[in-house]
Amino acid sequence: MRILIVEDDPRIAADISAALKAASFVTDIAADGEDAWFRGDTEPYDLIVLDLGLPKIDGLTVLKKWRAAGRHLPVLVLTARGLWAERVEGIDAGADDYLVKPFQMEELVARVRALIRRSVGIGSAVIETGLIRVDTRQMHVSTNGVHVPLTPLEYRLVSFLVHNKGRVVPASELLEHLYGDEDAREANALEAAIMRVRKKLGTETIETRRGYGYFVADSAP
Amino acid sequence: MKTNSLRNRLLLAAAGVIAIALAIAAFGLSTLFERHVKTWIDGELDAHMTQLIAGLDRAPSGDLAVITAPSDPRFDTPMSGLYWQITLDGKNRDLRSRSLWDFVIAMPADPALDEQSHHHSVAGPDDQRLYLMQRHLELPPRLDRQRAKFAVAIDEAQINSAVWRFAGALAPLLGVLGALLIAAAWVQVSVGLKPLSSISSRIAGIRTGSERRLGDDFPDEVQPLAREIDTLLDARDQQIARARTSAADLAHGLKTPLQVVLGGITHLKAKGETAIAGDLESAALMMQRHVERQLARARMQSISFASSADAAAVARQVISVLQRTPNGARLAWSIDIAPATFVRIHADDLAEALGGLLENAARHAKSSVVVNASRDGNRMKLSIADDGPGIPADKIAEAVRRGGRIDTSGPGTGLGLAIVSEIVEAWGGDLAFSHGNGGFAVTLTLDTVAPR
Repeated sequence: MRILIVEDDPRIAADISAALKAASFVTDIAADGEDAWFRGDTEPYDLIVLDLGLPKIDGLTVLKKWRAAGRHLPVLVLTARGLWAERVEGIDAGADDYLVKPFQMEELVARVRALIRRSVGIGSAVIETGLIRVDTRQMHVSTNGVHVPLTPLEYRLVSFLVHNKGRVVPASELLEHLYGDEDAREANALEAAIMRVRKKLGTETIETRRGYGYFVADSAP
Repeated sequence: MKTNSLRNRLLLAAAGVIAIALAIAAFGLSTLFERHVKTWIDGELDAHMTQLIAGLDRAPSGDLAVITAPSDPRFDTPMSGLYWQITLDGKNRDLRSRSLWDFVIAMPADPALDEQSHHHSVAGPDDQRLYLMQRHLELPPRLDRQRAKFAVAIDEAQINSAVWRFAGALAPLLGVLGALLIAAAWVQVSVGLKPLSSISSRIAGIRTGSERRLGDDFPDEVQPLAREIDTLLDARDQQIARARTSAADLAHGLKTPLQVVLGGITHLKAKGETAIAGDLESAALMMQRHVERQLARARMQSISFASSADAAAVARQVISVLQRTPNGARLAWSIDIAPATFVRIHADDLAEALGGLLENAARHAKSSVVVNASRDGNRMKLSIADDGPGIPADKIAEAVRRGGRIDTSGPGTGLGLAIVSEIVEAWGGDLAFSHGNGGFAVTLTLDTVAPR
């Protein structure tokens, strides 16, 4: 899962990024409104954390531009004022949730997880397919009730596919969502990770649709 | 009568001027009438005088006598008020009308022998004061060229009583005229002062939030005043907007560093410096409380009286925000507020108050939150009830106290209810707590405002 953090204060941006990375998300940082607007419009993020007080273009305007351009990804708004009138304005502009500064990082991570689940229509923090069970809060993956330890990349892979269960995900999309801007995107490494996951969870958990991509079934066959 | 009332002063002045004008009119008309009466009486007396002079002749006895007396019967009625008398110069003998009876008029000394009529005021019989016309002339040769004074007199009281009768008849007419003039003055004053009372009712409307500005529909003389007041209100609104903006800037300026501090605390914890991290965390929390408190206070100081908010719209907006949050998304929300229910409070402040209360309700509710409004005279009661566990009665005061917290499990500084209650009090409203719907219920009471 790839998240764009839009925050002009580098220390706060770094803290948020660290907290989200610890929760197995891939993050990019934009420090001003113009950069944020460009990245949000061109890159396939799964969620954007957007501070409202930004240089160049303010956060609310950026949000409205995304929505006007048909970008419907979830946006969590950060605001320092915390006035209810401002929250209303944010929600009206298309925000999905808000968080008032100063906030605890645990709260931010919980809200991000909830928003991502909601955006793919999953109500619970625990996502189950027929074969595996993913607890997004604890970042645990289990099969037949047994906890299976995974590396961060492996967890991100499973989590993304499970969030998109019942849909064929092309390899290029997987690459875009599992790696940040700075990471080297290697198709071979992805292939190797999929092999390792199949070995740990069972070969039938991730199906390959030749020429299309990868598929996790919604329920047991 | 209040003398500092403009209306009373104007009416008093008008009444004074009208009274003086009517007095002058009464005096002038009576004087004119008296002059007219005297002219008429002079004519009468002149006619009697001519008759009297023509009637004087030598009697068979050889003495001078009035052979044919003036024909008016009053000359023959004693003390009738109409008299004649002839005094022959150098002779101790008078000829007098029968009406004089035994009274002898003391004829004024007219030196000239000019055959002209002279008027005098002399004492008459029966304590009367007489208006006397006298001629001093020389009789024809046939009557030995004797010199004689001829006098015809009338009781002045008769003239005066005619004037008084006239004045008496005039008085009611002048009274009616005076009443009409005062009524006209009253109408004029009322029409003239009407813009002032309409200004004061508009200003009252601005204070209670049903009007925004005085506007342009005033007479030319009052319009500058209205314009000045509107300019003043504009300036005040700008000041308030500036104050709110600077409060927002302050919020941003203070809370962003606090966020950085919290980040630093997390790093310290990660490095195992839990004691320092704990101290810093409690200091940061205290700073956060102070910031929240000062920001709320800054907002309270920028209250604009020309405010009204649509309670239904604001409640709906706040709930639409809460429905996005994890706590709010799981609940059934119901709003029962008539559309266009206007209350006297700035919309931002109402959002702040309802936001705080509804967020609390969302945190504690099991499955539903009910918001409804009921009107009580010119007060509007907005009540928010959840179906949560409620707060014990003895803990309610603690919850409202500054920074007091009942539930310390969730995030927050504990300022919520205290700030809400300050906002509501600043707008002249109040907050009440109770148990209803099985859970906790808050009732927020505010003044209503007639919709614009």
